[in-house]
Amino acid sequence: MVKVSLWGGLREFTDGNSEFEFSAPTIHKVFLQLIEQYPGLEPELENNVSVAVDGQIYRDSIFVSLDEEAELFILPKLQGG
Amino acid sequence: MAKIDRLEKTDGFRVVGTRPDRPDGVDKVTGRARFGADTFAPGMLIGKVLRSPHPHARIVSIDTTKAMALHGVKAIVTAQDFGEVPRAHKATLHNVMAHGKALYEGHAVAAVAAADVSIARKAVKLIDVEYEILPHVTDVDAAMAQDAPLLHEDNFTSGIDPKPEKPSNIDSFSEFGHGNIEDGFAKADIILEREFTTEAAHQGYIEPHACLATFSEDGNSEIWCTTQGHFLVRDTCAALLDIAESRLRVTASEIGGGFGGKTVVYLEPLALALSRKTGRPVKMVMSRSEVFRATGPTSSSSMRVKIGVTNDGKITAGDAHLNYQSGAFGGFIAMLGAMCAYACYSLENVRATGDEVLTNRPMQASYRAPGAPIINFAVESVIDELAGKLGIDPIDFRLMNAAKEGDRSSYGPKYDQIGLVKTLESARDHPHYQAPVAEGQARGMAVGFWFNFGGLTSISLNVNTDGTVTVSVGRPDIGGSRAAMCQMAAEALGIPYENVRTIIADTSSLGFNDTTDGSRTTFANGLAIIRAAQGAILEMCGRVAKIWDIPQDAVEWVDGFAKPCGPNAGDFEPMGIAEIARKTAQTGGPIAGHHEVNAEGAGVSFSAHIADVKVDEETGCTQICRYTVVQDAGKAIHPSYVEGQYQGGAVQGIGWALNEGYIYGDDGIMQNPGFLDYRMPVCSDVPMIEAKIIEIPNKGHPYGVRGVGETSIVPPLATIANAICSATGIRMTQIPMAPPVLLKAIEEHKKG
Repeated sequence: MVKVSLWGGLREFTDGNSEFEFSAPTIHKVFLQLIEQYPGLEPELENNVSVAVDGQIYRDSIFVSLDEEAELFILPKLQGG
Repeated sequence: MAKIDRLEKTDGFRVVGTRPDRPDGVDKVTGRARFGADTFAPGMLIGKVLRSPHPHARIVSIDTTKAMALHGVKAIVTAQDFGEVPRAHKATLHNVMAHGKALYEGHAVAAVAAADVSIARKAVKLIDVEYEILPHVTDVDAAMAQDAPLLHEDNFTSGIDPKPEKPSNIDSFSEFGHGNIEDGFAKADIILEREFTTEAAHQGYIEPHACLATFSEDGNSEIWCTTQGHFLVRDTCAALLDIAESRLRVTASEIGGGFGGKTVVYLEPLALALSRKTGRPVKMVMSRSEVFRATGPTSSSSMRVKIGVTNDGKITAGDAHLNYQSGAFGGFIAMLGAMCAYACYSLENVRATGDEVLTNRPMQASYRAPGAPIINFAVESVIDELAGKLGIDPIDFRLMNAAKEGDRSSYGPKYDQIGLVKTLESARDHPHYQAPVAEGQARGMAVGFWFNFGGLTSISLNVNTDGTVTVSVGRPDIGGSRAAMCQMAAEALGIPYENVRTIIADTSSLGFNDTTDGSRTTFANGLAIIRAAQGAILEMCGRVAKIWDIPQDAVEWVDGFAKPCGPNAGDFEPMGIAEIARKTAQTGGPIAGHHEVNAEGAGVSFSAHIADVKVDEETGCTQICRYTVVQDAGKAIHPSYVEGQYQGGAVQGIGWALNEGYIYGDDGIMQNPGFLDYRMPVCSDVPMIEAKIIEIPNKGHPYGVRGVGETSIVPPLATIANAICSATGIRMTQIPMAPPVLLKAIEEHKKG
């Protein structure tokens, strides 16, 4: 199962929950399952997040393949200067 | 498929790692280079902005009758000239032009286009605006008070559950961390808690904002402007003026610095709106005062940091709360600061929370590693104080607690390959740190962290008929990226550096490119160029296979030549790129390579700084006597430019630490909107910054490149504060540590 953690700012959309486990082959599939449980997350996941997969940060790419035991951390969208 | 000689490599470079002359050097030193204000168009008008003299005021009415009656005035635009925009662009539009309320002194209220600058200035003064002055707030803590004047009646803090029932000036809250902070502090032998403040610093680019916009009768339009991201200018202006992106072509001028401050639009939509109204080109250039009052700066802040440690030097818990002032519109800088707060450390129990706070100040803009230097000042000051209490060398203390591969970062994910330990060890072993401290001086150090980014990238690489190569990229060259692009293309193709020219193409010539920010350009453009070169090489091998009448997989590319390979390839003289290029008409037409990618895998970076300072206890003036930056570049494509990035970041950090800062009066008006009173460091203020490049290849890039543009501004504030503490025994908790501030602290310290 893919382990998914959310950063604190998303807890307002998930009834305070921040740890999940899904069977999902891509980040996209993880997003779909999260949105199914918490529809309020949809605009956030569409526009405002980056995702770290086993430590590698993906700023936009959601069709990244995931290992069965992958660890995802959903972060805010990052911006530099 | 043809074979290509070592497209991905971490050693054995021929061009990469050398220091050729910069391709834009002659134009820049001769004054030939064209910056934002250096272009003209037939029939061009001059645009000027009327700005609010009040920090917070309701706009009751705007009467343009007298201004429009002035001979030579062609058009005036106000908020009424802009329609509804998508939610994502609302703050940008309302910052570009005040809608209903002026939210800071300098906020644009109207813009004029006139025949010349003199008429435009007169016209601005003839616009009659009736204001209802409202109470204002410019201080971050005052803005959070229950009775603070509200900037936006409809602002309910996001990021907290349950959602607040009352509006406030706190735009958003963010929280990062893991473990149990109370348990961590319970295990500590020493707990230190300190509060810090920092003032806003401007990015301080020498070139003010400038643009020339032309809106044609056929609906097509063009903008020439100084920007870090002309694709961003295109998309934003298209949204604000409700025009198709394909109808707007934006060309980036040469840029005289940006540092994050030119990642937003200010004048461009106004010039375009004025051009649409007049049918004439409109040029606009900001004064320095306008730059200070209406653009940038970074956040001011108040912070609380609490760290617990055992007597043997293990950090058991780190806690921090950040209040970052984000100007009149919301931001994300406190969030980034909270993410970076403890990123250098391997902690079982950590928490960092941040509030973005609205005030009657200009909308904050990114400034080189946005948010990170501010909290780094606070955390690294406490770390330094703890090292002192424990009697452990500051670098050894950091090494004992340094984050490593596989550790969970304080902002969430586990670290992939990182080079913090190597960076700290290199700093410890550096001749600067090993040298005894000179008499009358004192030493400080700090370490900092920053993310690096990749992003959307589209490039084109054309092989010309003489065998030279032109590379078109879509990100403005701020820090010398054209040289690095030429080097990587030359390396991949196996041709001389001098045979490659890189240009910055306009928005109609390439697919979307993310802005030059986030330390992304050399990483992402370079990755795409190497892939595009690969495509061109395969095409050239195919052409040669035709000429030799052998299969394409019997041709290999080695050091810039197509050669036969394999037992049945035959015996042919190697064919160079010039010869292949000469035959393009006969072999199938022009040869080019392209690559379009969302470049991921940039990799985070760390920087360790060492400073020797001398403090004049009679004046409170701090002199930087020696300063060293140690940082991982992955692979330095052009080491001089990498050193320049390290040096530039350090000097900007030194200025922020010692002098720079917005000063507001009780009237909410900025008191120092000019370089005489907002004092940036000049050459005589700093020694030659020593730059030590570490190269731990980034596996996300074919040549190992890691971004280097931002991390170097993160540690200087704390580095200098720690050195001042060593010199005076005073732990400064306020930035800037300007002479009057430090002198006062010294005098109070002497009184006991």
